[in-house]
Amino acid sequence: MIDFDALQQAISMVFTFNTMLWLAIGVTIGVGVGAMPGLTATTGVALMLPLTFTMDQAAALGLLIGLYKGAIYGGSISAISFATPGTSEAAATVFDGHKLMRRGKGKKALLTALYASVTADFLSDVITILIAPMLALVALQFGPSERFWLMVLAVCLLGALSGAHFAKGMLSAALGLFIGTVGADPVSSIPRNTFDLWWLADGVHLIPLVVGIFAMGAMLEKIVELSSVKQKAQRLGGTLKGLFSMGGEGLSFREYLSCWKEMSIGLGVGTFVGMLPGLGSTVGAFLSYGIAKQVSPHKKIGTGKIEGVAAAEAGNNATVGPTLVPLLAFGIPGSAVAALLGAALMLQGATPGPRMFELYPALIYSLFLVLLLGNIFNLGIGRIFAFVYAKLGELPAPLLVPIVMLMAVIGAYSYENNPYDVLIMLFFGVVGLFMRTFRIPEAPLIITFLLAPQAEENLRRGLLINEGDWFATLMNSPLAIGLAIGVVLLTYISSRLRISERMIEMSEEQMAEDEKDSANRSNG
Amino acid sequence: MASDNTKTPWVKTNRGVATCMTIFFLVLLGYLFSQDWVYQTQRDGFRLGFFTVVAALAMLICSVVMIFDRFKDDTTPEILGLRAKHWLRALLVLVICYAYFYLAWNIDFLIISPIFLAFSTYMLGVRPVSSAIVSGVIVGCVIFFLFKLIGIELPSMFF
Repeated sequence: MIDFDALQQAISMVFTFNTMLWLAIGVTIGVGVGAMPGLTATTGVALMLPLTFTMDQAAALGLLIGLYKGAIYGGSISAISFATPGTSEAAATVFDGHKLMRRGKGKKALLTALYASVTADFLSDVITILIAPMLALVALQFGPSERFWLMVLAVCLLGALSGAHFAKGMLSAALGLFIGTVGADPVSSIPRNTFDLWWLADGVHLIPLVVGIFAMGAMLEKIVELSSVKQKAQRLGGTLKGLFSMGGEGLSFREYLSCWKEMSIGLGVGTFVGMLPGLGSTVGAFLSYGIAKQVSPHKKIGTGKIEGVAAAEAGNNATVGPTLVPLLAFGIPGSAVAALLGAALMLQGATPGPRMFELYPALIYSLFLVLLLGNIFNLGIGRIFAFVYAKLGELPAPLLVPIVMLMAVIGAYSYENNPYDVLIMLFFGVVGLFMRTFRIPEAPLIITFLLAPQAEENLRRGLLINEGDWFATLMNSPLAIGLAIGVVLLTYISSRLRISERMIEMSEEQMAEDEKDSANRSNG
Repeated sequence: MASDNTKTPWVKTNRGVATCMTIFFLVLLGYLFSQDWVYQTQRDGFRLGFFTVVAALAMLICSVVMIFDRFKDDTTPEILGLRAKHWLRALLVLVICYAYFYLAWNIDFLIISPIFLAFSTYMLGVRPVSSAIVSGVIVGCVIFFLFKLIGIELPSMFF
């Protein structure tokens, strides 16, 4: 049922100059972040997260969701222009997009990417809006032990699906749990796991952690990369030359409609993949591209066709809205960005989860409105400035790295004006660097870190109800037992089936096939 | 992941890194078991160290699994290219970042930030030096006013 009072309140929160401005800024920054190789949607959202605590709820959501949507689309710009995907999500776009670019049809490819992204994103947002409240109703029936097991199940799923190496995914999740236990016990306030450091008594705050892992870690990796390769001196003067110079054939409405099948595949695959914790938009893009290629062999996707661009872009952007479904319905973030959006909601005083629909209906409606409006802004800003953003990919990394590091320092400090937060952020920068070089996925760490207090709260509530009886707490209903069995089965099956590894192999095969095709054509 | 047993130094394979991590997690577990708070039982029957020990054990199990699983001889191009000097450089960058933070908040953000930005961009390869200085000043000022606009006050005697 629609709560019209809350909807009205949400409309008055969202349709203000302030919210619209931040939404526009979010999309503008996001497309830029996506277009610049080396920066990802997660890095962008992590850097902007500390700024949102001074904003009102709708503006904060506008900035972060706008940035997320913009960044997922923005990755396609440098993928098409330079065959260097700005984000991993856009790697599948390179196959057809860059070939179109080389044939002088760059404008057509960029517009296909934009329209396919916005169409699939918008429709998947509608699906999210329809599904999330229904699932939340189901989740409200769960007791503490069911919720606890659901969280454990989600963590196992995350570990299993984040990257090819199951043990690395689980290691990351365990590290998140370990960091989540640092600080005073929430019930008795006794300090624990603080290594006798008084400034850890308050625990590790989320902002220094995410800024350190995602932003500082990425920049340290970039510095290592820059110092490993003998760099030529980077001259800034020529960078902006040729701006607005991309001309060529546009995209007709008929051509846009001709991609309906690929966009539908992208929408279906992306929506499903987005709702599953751990897989993410890169898998969405590659799966969608692979299926579209199989379904329509006569279209010769992979040889520089707009249908290939549409399938890949629809597949990655369709994950944006659905990634919020587990967060809103169960309080379990399905991806690193969803975890950061959940953190933004917490900074605004609302804990994400099924109770949010009862406690903060206006905020939920605001979020839905922002999700939908973000697409309109993405379309407008992407349409007008895509060709300017195409040149952003040429910005030298030496200019970018210090700016991100400076923003990371300000973001970590300004959250609580605590100099120790800067130290913690720098420490996690090194941890992030290690995780990147050893290819340990970061998402399970952040998500488990966020889930740890909730899991503990549910377990302890169950223990209180059952007077300290652990067995009765953990196995108090058929559903709890079913979920516990699910955890064991899922861990076993996912380690045997190697789902993520197969997905990655599939994308690698796709790339190898593409290279072979290119080589054959150049020889022929 | 690259896998070339003949050329990859053992320490740079999954097995090598996982062995180092196993030793670290064993030490960590030893430390945790020596702490009193780990054993403290609360009124609800919950042991204070439950989640911490579960997490440390899980990390230990994962690193032991990595020593023996089928990826044990794999490595990553990033690890292969990494030298001790890179870690030292990363640590130096962190020290510079903290020094920047200390100076910017104790002297003046608008003075220290352009210096930090110009120095960093120059050290990372931006040439000529005038480009590094101009970009440092412009970016420093833009960031200052952007944060001021959203209500985050950065320390400056000028504004």
